Amino acid sequence: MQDDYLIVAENVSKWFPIRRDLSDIVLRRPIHYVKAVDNVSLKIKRGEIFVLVGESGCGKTTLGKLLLKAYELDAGKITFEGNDISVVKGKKLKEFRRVAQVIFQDPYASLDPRFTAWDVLNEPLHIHNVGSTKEERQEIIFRAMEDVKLIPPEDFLERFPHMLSGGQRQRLAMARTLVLEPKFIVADEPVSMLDLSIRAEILELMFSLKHRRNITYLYITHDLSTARYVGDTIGIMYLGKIVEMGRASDVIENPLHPYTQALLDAVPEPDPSNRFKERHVRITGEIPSPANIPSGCSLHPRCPYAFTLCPVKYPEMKQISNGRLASCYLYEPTVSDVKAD
Amino acid sequence: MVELEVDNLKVHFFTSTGTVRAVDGVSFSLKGKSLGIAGESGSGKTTLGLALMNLIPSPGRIVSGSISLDGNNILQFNEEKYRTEVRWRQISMIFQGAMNALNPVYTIGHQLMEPLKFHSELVGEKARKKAEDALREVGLDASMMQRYPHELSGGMKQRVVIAMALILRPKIVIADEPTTALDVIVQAQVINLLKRLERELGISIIMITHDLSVISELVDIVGIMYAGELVEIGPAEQIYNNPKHPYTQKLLNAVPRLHGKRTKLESIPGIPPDLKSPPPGCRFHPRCPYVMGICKVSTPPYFTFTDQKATCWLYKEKA
Repeated sequence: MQDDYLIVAENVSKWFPIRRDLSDIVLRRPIHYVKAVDNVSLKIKRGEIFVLVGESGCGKTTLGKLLLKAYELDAGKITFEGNDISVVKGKKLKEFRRVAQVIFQDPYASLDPRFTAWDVLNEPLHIHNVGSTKEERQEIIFRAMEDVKLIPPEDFLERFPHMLSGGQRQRLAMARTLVLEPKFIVADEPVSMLDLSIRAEILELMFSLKHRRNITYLYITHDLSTARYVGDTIGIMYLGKIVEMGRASDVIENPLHPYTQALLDAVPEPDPSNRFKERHVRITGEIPSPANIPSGCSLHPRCPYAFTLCPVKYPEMKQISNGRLASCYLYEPTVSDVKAD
Repeated sequence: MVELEVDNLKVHFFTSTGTVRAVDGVSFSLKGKSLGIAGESGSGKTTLGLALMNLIPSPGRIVSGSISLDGNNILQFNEEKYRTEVRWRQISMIFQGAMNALNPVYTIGHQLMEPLKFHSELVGEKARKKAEDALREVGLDASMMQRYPHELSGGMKQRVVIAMALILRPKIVIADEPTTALDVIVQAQVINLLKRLERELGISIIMITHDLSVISELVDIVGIMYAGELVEIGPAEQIYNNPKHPYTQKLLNAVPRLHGKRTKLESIPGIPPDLKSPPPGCRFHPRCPYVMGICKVSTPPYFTFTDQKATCWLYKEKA
């Protein structure tokens, strides 16, 4: 059954050391870490869109980069099509780099201003030695441009990024991944810089490529409405940990973790009758610094349901019902009894 | 309750490569309600806000039109009169990204008391007390006075900026993307705060944003801007449930929703026009699915439906 999953992460962690000044070193103070990703496990099925949702600083981008081997793991294991990516080297690594691609948030910053569209799309082919003749490469490039609806391709080949609109740039960034026939794409907030009226076309493009080219996505966002729209599976992240996971519609309609519930309470909706009510958000305050994460369950200082055990021990991720995972003592019957006492 | 009336306001930027018609003939009036101005980037919504504050940066200029407060055309005031009588006293603004523009080397208290010094000659203990009250009003502790901006979280900084805008008790507060840089939970807290202040202080908020969901949480009247023009304005219920202008209709279909049926999102083909040379006739016509011959040659006037109005030739017969 392992084959159903393209990518499997088990207990992965990435801790960034905080720079110590000279006095810290002389006095041998311990190194402190920002636990950007802490003991996270997830599985992404082939051909699905897995959405990672969280507030800024929760580690969602770091997790995405770990899955791409853009960072080395500090702990845990990631397998891609059954191969451990932390040990791949040489040719195998280059092959992994080809099939695992990324689309960034800001299409104004992710394209070289001195590269024409042709250069942008030709560079990855050059690096990976795809296509031996110019004609062959042109065919691959044209096909990618047609896939992202930069048509007719001839009109765009000679253009520099500044001659393209925001939506066109993001489509060019998508085409850049497509020329290498990827299997896995990490899309890090790909529409949050774009105007509302062109977001849908980028999302539609993702859907159609998912079907036509059988691409698996990790979609990173802070926006639950978009997450529901694009996602097959949603993982909710808070301070370096995934606190809840499940099918997108289940998580949105029936959130289990208090943090997910609070996020959903807070999402504004385009309904003018909302202005007559005050939004009741179940958790208070703001997200603490990831350099100083509270003990036990990191949500406990903000959580309305917190009880004695929460600050002491982190609740392990448990399967609550079919396909639903959450890490919260509220769903552990034996522990909840303690709470009642 | 103050009445704001904007009539045929035009703000143009005279750049070396041509005249950018950033705001081109915007009219609306507002009394005792809150207004939301929604539009995509480059639609002129921030320029409109700056025009109300008489803070259009060079090479921009208000070329025509009027802005009246209770019948007085404030555009005819000289800068000195505007500064002492209108700006911050009657109309103030929460600038876009202001929370990140707090001066890092001065305390919050110092920065909060600055408008008091320049606009009301309030200094010393009185100013301090007023600043502390202003902090409490936005849900912050008076001990914040001694803190520096880097010691505050994003939500707290935004509250400070809101306190600054309210400290002289203006009647109208323009809030330009007040929640865009905030996470969703803090955003909800800030919107709750703005709602409370609106109710308790009786201020009118003019909220400028690209986010149609955020705007519906707060305002009574919604105006939609496209390419420098206010293409539709009306009560929030009308705009959201019965939009008239094709642009408004398309834009609302592009908003993903959290609950209810998962409908397919629409996008609007094409891109907004270059405001140096906007298309003739209706500026939306190159992207409009209902385009007719007249749209390409003649600029549509407002067609009115009870208290909602839209600039679209589709409603010519009904008018």
